[in-house]
Amino acid sequence: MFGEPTLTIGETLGLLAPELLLLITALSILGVEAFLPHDEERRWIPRATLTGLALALIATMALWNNTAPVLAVLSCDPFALTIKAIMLIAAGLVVLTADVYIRNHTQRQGEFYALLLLAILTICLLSGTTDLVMLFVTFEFLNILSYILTGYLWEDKRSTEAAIKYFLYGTVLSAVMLYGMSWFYGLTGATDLHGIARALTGQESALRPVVLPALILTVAGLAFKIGGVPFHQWAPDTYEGAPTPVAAFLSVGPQIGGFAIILRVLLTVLPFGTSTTELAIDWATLLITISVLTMTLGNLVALWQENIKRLLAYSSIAQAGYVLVGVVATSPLGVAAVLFYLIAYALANLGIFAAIIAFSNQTGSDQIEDYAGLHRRAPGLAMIMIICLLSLTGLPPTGGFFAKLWLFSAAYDAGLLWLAVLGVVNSVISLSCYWKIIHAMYLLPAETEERLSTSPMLAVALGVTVVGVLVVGIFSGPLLSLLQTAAPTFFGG
Amino acid sequence: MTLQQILFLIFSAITLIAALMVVTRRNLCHAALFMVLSFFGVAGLYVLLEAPFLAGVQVFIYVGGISTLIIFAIVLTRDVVDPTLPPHNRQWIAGALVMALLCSVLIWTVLGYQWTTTTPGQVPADSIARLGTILVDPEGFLLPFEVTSVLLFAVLIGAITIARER
Repeated sequence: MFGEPTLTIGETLGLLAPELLLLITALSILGVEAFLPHDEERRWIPRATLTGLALALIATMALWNNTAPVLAVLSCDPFALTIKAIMLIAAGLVVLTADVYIRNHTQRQGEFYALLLLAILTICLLSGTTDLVMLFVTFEFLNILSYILTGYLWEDKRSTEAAIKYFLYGTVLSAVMLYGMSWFYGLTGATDLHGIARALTGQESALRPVVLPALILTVAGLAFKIGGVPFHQWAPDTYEGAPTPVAAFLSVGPQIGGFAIILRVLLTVLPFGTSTTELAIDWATLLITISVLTMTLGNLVALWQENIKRLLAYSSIAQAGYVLVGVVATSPLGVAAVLFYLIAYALANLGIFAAIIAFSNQTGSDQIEDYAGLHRRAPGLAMIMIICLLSLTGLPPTGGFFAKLWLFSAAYDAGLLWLAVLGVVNSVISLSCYWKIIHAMYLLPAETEERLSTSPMLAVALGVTVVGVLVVGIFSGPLLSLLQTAAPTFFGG
Repeated sequence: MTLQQILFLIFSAITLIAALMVVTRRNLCHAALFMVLSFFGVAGLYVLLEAPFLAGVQVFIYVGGISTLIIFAIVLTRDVVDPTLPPHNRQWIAGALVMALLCSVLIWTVLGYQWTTTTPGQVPADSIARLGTILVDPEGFLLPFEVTSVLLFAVLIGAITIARER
């Protein structure tokens, strides 16, 4: 681990370019905003944020063919770069939806976007982390920023309550996860994932009684991040109380980051696609259990929700359950399917959140009953919502259909037919959750005929997401083969 | 029983009993003071493990810094705390059950596994210097170290934004 540095400082900084660009943008926003006292002059902040994200995305693309690890603790492989690209695009959409909402609700805009950028930076770092120390530092960084952003509107009691609930849950589970990691270190004497994998090789059945508890403790922290049952209880309250753009971010950012580390830890430490040791079977059983509980409970509880943000919280819990199906498949197709699903999910979910924000910017409501007759008040908005909801359900021709198709076929290839069938059953249940929204928008009479208008930035976000959802569906084949280039990171070759 | 084992039992007992008192005291100030005691117990364990630097850091940061911060927070929010409220809610039975389960699994694991016992290696005399080198070594933990500094900066900004008076 402590050999001669193989890269010069310049090369290292080059490989860290996306992260550094995000950091520089965040610092510039903080620095410049202090000198702009007037509201009018602050309108550039979201645009500056978008510029920073775009530059980071370009830097990510420029690194595409690189495989060298940046430092001992961070890898810059195709998988990490894919995750970064997905995250940066999703983050751009979050910023587009945040613009008007944040301006209406708080004076402190610069800090909001700076903290959001830092949160995105941590997810970019998480995507390539190959060391438990680095993993914990970035993981906790993301958690702390999420708490701050959730409680950002401190004048609003619900926002503070959401932040405190999230904080209590997150801190306890981080501690549990750190404890599990300390077991791994104690067993193997290594903190980097490859070192742990080497120490475990050949020792699996001997170490199994100790690795299993350590594994459960570690997975608890990771499951919290993606909203896996039974560590999901924070999600509904946090989504409901958090500022809606933050809820939008929380529904995609931690999911993307969380699945990135779950895949990396899983496939590096225990490459059980190639081995059939008892330990590998334990891993799979553990994750399958979480997956089944997560998708079933998420969808069933969503049926009873009256608040659209709570409904989406349970929906995103359920979606995490589907993604875990692809994780347990532990095949190159499984990895590609997880990435594909994250793209389709992020686009559809952010589309719905953009519509919710557009709606609440003018009506101030998040209750599903208030969406009655939306198709007369804002036909475009209602149409976009339907397309995104269909994608979340997994109906053609949207991206969500192909995402579920690849996921479940990866599960089928791995011999998990029953899990795939359960996923399909759950998709049908989820349709009845989403039907509630569609029913209100199209079949219930409107209380007013007042037209709803949409701000330009929100319109861009809505347009990009809906086009994205359809394009991902139409070009699903080429996109999947593109994503499959990221899979060899874990499967050799 | 060697002296080291006796000391280990004493320090562990201090840590655990103080930790138990932290969660059972009604008076928050007393709870905070017991937490200081618990931190001291942990520092003692570090000394036993021949990690004097960690023991020092534990005393400086946890006993000195964090405890003071917590006591300040209690003093500043005096009106918020109602000492007549019970320190636990109706879910304590469920919580205790989960903890008992977790605890028994961990004890079962520790007792059931054939641990390889080796004589403890000599702690090198320059262990603090090595620790410092690893923290700033590009092939070591330089990046987590730098990320932590960004984290502290972000927390500072966040704390000011959430807590400042308007």
